[in-house]
Amino acid sequence: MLLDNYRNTGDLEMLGELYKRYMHLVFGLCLKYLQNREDASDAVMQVFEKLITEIPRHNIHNFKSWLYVLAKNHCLMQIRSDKTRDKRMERWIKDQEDYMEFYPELHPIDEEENDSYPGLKECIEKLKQEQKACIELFYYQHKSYREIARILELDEKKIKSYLQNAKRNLKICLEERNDPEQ
Amino acid sequence: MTQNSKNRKKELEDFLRYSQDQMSEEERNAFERSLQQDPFAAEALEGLSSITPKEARADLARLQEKLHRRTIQHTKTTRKTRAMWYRIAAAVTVLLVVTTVLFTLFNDRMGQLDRKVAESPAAEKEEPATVSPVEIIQAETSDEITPMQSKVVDERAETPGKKEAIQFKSEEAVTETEIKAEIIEEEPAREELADIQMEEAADVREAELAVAGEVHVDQVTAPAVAMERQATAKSRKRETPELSQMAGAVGREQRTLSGMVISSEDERPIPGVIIAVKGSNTGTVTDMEGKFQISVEDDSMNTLIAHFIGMEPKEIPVEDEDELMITLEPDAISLEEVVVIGTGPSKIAQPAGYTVKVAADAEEYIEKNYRSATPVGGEKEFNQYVKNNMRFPEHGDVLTRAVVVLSFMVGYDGRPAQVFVLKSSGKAFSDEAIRLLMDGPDWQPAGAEGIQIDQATRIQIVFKKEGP
Repeated sequence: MLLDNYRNTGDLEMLGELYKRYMHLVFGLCLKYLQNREDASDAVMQVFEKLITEIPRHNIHNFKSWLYVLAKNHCLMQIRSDKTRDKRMERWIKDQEDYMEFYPELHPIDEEENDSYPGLKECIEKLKQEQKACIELFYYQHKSYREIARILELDEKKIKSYLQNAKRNLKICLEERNDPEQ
Repeated sequence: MTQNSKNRKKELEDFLRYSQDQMSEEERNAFERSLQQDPFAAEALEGLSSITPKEARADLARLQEKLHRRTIQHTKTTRKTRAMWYRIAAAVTVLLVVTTVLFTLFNDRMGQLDRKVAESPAAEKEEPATVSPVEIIQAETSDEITPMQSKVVDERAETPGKKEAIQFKSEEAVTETEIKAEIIEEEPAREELADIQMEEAADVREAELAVAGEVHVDQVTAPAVAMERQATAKSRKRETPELSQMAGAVGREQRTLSGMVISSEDERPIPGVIIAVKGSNTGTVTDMEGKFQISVEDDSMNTLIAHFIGMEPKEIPVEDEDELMITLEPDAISLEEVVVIGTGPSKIAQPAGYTVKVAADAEEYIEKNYRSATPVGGEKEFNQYVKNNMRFPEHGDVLTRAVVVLSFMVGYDGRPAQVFVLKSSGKAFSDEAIRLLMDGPDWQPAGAEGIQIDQATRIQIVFKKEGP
């Protein structure tokens, strides 16, 4: 809505209002990559300037996910330019921006009523021991990363990566199941 | 909208509570599950957990403030621009009138004295005199339009015509008309600086180049151009104090950034480098000592771009530095002044119709004895020939260094043929490079003794204007 309004009027205040809603996310993201409050703050403003030039050039379906890609690329580019300036990389990232609008796709397991999802239970059964345990604890017993880490005596980072891998395997398993031809 | 912003606020609070460990385990899980669906938020959280909530709140508040100023400022400037125009125009006219009067006065007094001698002291002495009236007028000008201002508008309507006339004259020569013209020319020059939005890149380059005018003008340039440059430079110098005032009045805080561009090869200054402010059409060109001055908006997110043919373009982020030292790296292919590059035996892409079949053992023979195409008499001779015969293109005075890369085939008669321009600083330079090649010595084709391969050869010719 705001985005359309901005496109129509070119009123920067409108864009500012829109950006304000995501500023904490952009700031946090930049903090993660640039590891420095000042640089992150500067990046937040630079990303805003980038919005002004980039918005007219893109067909944006989902502003938040588009902004995510834009901001992340900005930070990555910043890091690279600090080290070595690689033109090819820059161009590559630019190309990505055109195509890589990221569509958040809900993983079946993230859905509220995943009990009824066909085959999900079977696929979970097929997972490796640690991955299965993580899924079970996280999604069905509602334990936080930290608790799971304590229970399994593993690092929190490890838990996250197990979850990540488990979800990927689940997806593959479900696709095979529902589309046996392939 | 309020609902939305409340949600956002809650999201931030959740982040902070999470990282501060103020959630129950159940809440943690719910939050983590929401993060599983939102990589943006997940990454943001990682970043935010690295600082304290107090810092995070402070930074975000500051950013909101900054963003607010950024968006408001824009709206205001757009609205104000018109009003500003009148003020600027008024100031300009007053200055114009005063300068003309003073000039005529001095001119009379100086009588028959040589123009050049008369001009510089006049310009010097005017400086204090001109500044004060303008200051007064500026203080006086308010939002309503005074008669003075309306007069200005009239005059402004005339300017386009005048401008043309002026440029015409200044190109030609050196009489008193030019002196007057030069005074009027202040106006366009000032407009550009006062309102960046209106300026055109080309004009700027011209105007900024004038700053370089105080440097000794090289012998190569025609005397008329030299005069013009000096003249504009002086008028520019006189303007400077008012300019900064003007910029202040416009409300967009401008500051002047100066710097120098050197080459990483020999750490010597490079004249003629194009410096531009990214995202705007402000630009300038370095002077003979590689120095430049450019005005930028006074905030923390300016980026300068330095361009020079034969060098890798470079972007320089500017925070609050006033002095910059920019080092440019040579482009991968600029190696020496004149480089002859033979592009390896066979297997190289050749222009259609030039495929030569070579028997297997002949191929081996060539591989062993391969030598790239060379100018008859050797490369040194050829370099000398280029140096001696190069005519620096007349209209190339914007650049003092230029690079042209040519590709060509050597025919059976030893003459270069099928010349392509691979890279050039402009048509004038390409034409001159081709002329040099075609008028130059014969070439020994690539290949080995007794066998010739049709193969594209590349040469790079570097134009350099001899410095003072």
